[in-house]
Amino acid sequence: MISSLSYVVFFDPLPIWVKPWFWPLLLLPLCLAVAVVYKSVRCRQTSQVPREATVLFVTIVLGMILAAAALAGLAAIMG
Amino acid sequence: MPETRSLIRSVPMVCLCAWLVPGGGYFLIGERSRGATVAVTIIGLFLAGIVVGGIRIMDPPGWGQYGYMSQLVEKYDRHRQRPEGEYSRVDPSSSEEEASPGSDGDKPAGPALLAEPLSELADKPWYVGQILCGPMTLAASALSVHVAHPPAGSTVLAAGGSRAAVEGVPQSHSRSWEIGTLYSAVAGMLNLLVIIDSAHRAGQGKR
Repeated sequence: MISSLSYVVFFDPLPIWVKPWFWPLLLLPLCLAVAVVYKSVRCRQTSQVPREATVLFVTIVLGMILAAAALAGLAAIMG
Repeated sequence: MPETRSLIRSVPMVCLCAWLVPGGGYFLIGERSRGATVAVTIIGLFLAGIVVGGIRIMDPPGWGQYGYMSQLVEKYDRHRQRPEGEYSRVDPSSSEEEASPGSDGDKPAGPALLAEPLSELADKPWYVGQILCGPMTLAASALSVHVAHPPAGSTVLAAGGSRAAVEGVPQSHSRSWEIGTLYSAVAGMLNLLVIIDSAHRAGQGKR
């Protein structure tokens, strides 16, 4: 019974509900992947990719934080 | 200075390789470091999706909750002693039920995927994104379908006092499922971008 309840990676979902603050952090790998692949496609030289991808990653994350803050503010105003 | 010598410039071949292995198209046209970067990123994102949502986020169209092919049956009207002329979808929970779906008198009309492929795909549109990751999606889907089969003799009491089968590995729900599916579908969409770019570079190299 215990073995059927234990977490098996790749088979069982990651228990993100245990720590409610954890799931928004899952935005980061997604933003990183989008930034790296997009800049890998766009850059002429692959040596430019790390720097360009880092800038894009930070821009996306800051944009998401600003959008979340704006929506939270709007939700607070609307009551 | 080019990083490596171009090997193949056939656009269809580059597209096929880019779909088979993410980044494979770049390897074929000689851009190895670009290919390695996108391969690690796309495969990593795809696997991260499975880690977050579990293997059951791979939910191929045409297969039901218990990992057997969904079947269509023509319902039989016992009062009028004739078929109703209406089809319904049955989710088998065993290979026996898959072979003869529906209750007594119902007429099997074959797998739902073959009878109504677009309807099945419309039920699971995220699979369009996932399949763009290539054969690893097919392998993960086959594993997902396999582990979904209910273990022998495992049933639970369902509403109305009837017994219902239990999935071998249950599907995740809520945010786990959503985020896992999003990761794997975005990995596929990024691979589409890479397929288009590697094909474009291969085409440019011909001129």
